Amino acid sequence: MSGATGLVVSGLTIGINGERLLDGVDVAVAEGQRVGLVGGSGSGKSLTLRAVLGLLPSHAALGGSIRWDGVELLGAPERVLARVRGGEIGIVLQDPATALDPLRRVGAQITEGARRHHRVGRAGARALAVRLAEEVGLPSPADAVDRYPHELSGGQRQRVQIAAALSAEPRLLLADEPTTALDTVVQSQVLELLARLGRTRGLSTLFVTHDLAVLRRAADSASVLDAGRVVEHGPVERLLTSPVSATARALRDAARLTSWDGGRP
Amino acid sequence: MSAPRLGRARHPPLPRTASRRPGRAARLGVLGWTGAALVTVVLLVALVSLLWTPYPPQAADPYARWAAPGGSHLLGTDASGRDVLSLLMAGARTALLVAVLGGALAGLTGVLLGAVGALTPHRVRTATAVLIDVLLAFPTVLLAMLLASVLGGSLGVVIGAVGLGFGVTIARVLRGEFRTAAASDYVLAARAAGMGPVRILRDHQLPAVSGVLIVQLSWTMALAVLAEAGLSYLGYGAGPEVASWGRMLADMQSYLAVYPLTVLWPGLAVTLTGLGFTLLGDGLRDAGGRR
Ligand SMILES: Nc1ncnc2c1ncn2[C@@H]1O[C@H](COP(=O)(O)OP(=O)(O)OP(=O)(O)O)[C@@H](O)[C@H]1O
Ligand SMILES: [Mg+2]
Repeated sequence: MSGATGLVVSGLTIGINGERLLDGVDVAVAEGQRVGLVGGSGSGKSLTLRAVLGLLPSHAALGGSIRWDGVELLGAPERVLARVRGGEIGIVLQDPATALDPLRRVGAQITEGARRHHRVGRAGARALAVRLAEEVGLPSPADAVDRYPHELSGGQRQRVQIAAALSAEPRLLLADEPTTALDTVVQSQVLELLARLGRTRGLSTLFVTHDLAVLRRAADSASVLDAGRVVEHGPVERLLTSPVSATARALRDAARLTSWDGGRP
Repeated sequence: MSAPRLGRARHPPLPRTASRRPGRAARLGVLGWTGAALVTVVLLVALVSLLWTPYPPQAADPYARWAAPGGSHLLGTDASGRDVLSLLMAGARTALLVAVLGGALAGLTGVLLGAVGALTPHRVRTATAVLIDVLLAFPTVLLAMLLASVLGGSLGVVIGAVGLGFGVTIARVLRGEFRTAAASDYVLAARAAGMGPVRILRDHQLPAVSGVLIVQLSWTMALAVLAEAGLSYLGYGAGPEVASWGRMLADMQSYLAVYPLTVLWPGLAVTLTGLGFTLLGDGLRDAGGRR
């Protein structure tokens, strides 16, 4: 309730231009939890994440409630949202090719959140950038922070995004299909990195994906989204072994086709 | 217990190449470099004219009217016996002054109007877009005449007209660029990091439009040189005490049939300077396009 820590989204509805895109979505991520949000393309996964940070277009009509540590974020003043954004909840976007500013050095982008939230100076920012670059496993971190994004590979850029999302030390990480644009080997490395960061930093995660094989490594429980509604919720293993909803079954079957470990439960 | 660092050890170190901002490689191309060279020559001539000209540009020598080229007057003299080369050199100063100040004003107008037209709430944004389109339909020459009829003709009027008139053109282009940048993932990411609109403008959006802005400025400076010559020719620009290629054309045109060469020089100066800025702009655009 109002004293609860973590994220509690309840009955979230989103309408844009008279079209109801999200219809009563419930998702909760308590301290230290790893929760998944799965669903097909266009089911409303990204909209849900953007709504949490108050980053939907201004003409979007919102209903329901989004509570962070008991504080209502829906309709909260910009001042409250600015504190939460980056400082308490970080986000990693789907496409590493577009999520970084092509004209800004990697180091400056990594520490944007830290400079905004923790008054880190110029010299401190550089040291922090190198430290974070090292933590997320960028090769030659002291060199990498002086590069521009086009000089890095897709997987490296995704590591930069993760470092940037962590720089202001948030407690919750929203991950919007962070591995979808990567090849399977790199995908596996990034999942490993996120799992390690979750452990070492005590980070909760809300992990969005359409791939149950990926979900299995990134979350313990998950909600299944279909056309803006949650159709099923439960532990990931159960979603894999005995999905109830047609959507979850379809996602499971698709995962069996693409995952190398086949139908291993 | 140290956490396994999967992936890090397997990565080869980054290749040791000099780090470069995309699109900033000096690949202007032949025409771009030609433009840059022309502009540099005009700039050098203008700078030299500040320190030295063969004769004081406005010194009329009644005993040396229409002196032929060569001899003590390399390009000859005009109807009142002023040295044409000295006038040409001092005219470069005026042309560049208008190009630089008019260009700066146009750039400022363009960035401000373009940003307001792209980044403000829906209503303000739409109203600004309409305003830009209305202003765009208003000819710059007419604007200059209007200003001159109120304030009297001067270089200030030319600079103001160039700045506002061409600034609106820049605004329309930059508006689209600002919209694209505002809709980008990296601006979304910056907002998600808690950055405010002013910082995002400074750190992400202005850099994003700067490439296009530089190209537009170069073309605007070409137009400014032509506008200064044209307006001064019409009498709305430089006063008689200021050396201007446009004024030279106006002064000499009545003698065109007798002394055709004298019109050639200022005409050539205007054309080559305008061409220089245009080619430079084309080169910059192509270099940016090859990102
Ligand atoms: N700004 C917007 N204006 C109008 N409709 C939108 C907007 N953003 C998203 N939508 C619509 O909302 C629906 C859900 O979009 P969302 O981006 O959340 O999907 P998603 O589940 O993340 O899909 P994907 O897996 O393809 O990323 C889609 O039908 C989309 O067309
Ligand atoms: Mg999405």
